[in-house]
This record gives sequence, structure tokens and C-alpha cells, in this order.
Amino acid sequence: MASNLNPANAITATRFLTLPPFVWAIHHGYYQLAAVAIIVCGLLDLVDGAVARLFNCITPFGAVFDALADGFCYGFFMLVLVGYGWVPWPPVALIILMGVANTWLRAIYARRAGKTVNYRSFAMERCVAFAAYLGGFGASGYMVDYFYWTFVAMMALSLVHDAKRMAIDPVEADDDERDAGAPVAVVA
Amino acid sequence: MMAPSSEHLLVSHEAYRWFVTIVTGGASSYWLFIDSFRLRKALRADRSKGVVRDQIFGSIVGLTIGAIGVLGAVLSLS
Repeated sequence: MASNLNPANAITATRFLTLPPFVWAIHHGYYQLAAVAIIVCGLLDLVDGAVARLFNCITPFGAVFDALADGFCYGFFMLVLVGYGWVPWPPVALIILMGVANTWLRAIYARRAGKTVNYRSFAMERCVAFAAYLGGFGASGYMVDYFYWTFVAMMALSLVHDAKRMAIDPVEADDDERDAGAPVAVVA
Repeated sequence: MMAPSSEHLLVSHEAYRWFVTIVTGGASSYWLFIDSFRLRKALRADRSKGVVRDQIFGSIVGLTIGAIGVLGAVLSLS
């Protein structure tokens, strides 16, 4: 198995470097520069998966690290925007709460499966990709209420569906097929 | 709190808004296309498997998000 000190994980780690410029841009009211920081973070998310496949360094840790980086970076963008009053707090509070619940359910699933595994949810993958846009919409003041509240609805629907699969339904043998050929960048 | 500034703009506000609308509409349309293809493929697979049922659900969520994006881009123009 590939080492965890690999190019893909290094790229994932560099995503955190987009957070300080984002805060600086928001603090000074430079919304277009803030959007650039978000776009760079999103592009690095695409690149790390491609690099993992290119250098054949896909690891379970890398999948979990990527999912954590997604949650942390996109959650951080939204929290900063709430802090500066650029987006309403109720939908962001609900999104953060559901994100915590999702992480907790994954821990339950890993314990039930008896191994370190990042449950691959096809619905939550789409929600994470949607979340990548929310920071940009918030920083740009673009249809904020519409996109944030529809995201809450989609994430709630996906979470309820996944909760049943992760916490109640028996762990199926074919669950291992979920990650077969799965691109690391979109493992949510 | 500092309001959005007109200083240090990379492009005009109008051009930027068009850029966001085109990216949102384009990405959403792409999602609609890709997820309709994935849904068709999943519907042909063995639905007794949990992973296939999840793929179907995921594709429906993806189609809905794509529709939300396209509608949002259209509404922003009105």
C-alpha cells in the first residue's frame, strides 16, 4: 500500500492555505478575490484525486483526509461569511449540524464494519459538490437564500437516507464495491 | 463588518455576475446530463444490491441539484 506521505495528500493539505487569503479578502470586502480563493480550493480538490490515480497512491487515509478537508474548508468558508453577515446564519447552522451528524454516522458505520472505511454515499457526493459552490454564492451575494435553503433540503434528504444505511441496515458484502474505482476526490 | 468593496475588482460587477450565472448554469446543465446517464445505467443494473439502489438515489439527488442550479441561474436573470 502507498505511503500516506504522498503527492495527493500533500495537495489536499495545500487546500488549507486558501483559508487565510479568503478571510483577508472578506475582511476587506474584496468579494471577487474571496471567490478566487474558493475556486482555487475547489480546483485543488479535483487535482488531488487525479494525482492519486496518476501516481497510484490511493490510500484509505487519503480518502478520509480528503473528506475531512472538504468539510473543514467549505464549512470554514460559510462560517466566515456568516461571521461577516454576508449570508444568513440559520441555514449555515443547519448545514454544520448535519455535517457533524454525517461524520458521527460514518464513525458508527466504520465500527459496525469493523475496519477503517469511509462509507461512500453517492447522494452526499453530490451534496459536497454543491457545497463547493455555496461559499462562492455567499461571497458574491448571488441568489444566497435560494441556494442555501435548497442545499439544506437536499442535504437533509441525503442524510436521512444515509442514516438508515449506515446505522440500521445490515453491512452488506457488496458495500466493498462502493469504493471500487471510486475517484478519491469525490469520496464524501 | 465591512461591506463588499468596489475596490480591487478583477472585472466589473456586471461582468462578474454574468460569469457566475454562466458557470452556475453550465455546471448544472453538465450535472443534469451526467446524472441522467448514470441513472439510466444504474436502472439497468441488479437493483437487489444495496449499492445499486444507493446509486439510483444518488443520481436522483444529482438531477435535482442540477435542476436547482439551472433554475437559480434563470431566476437570477429575472
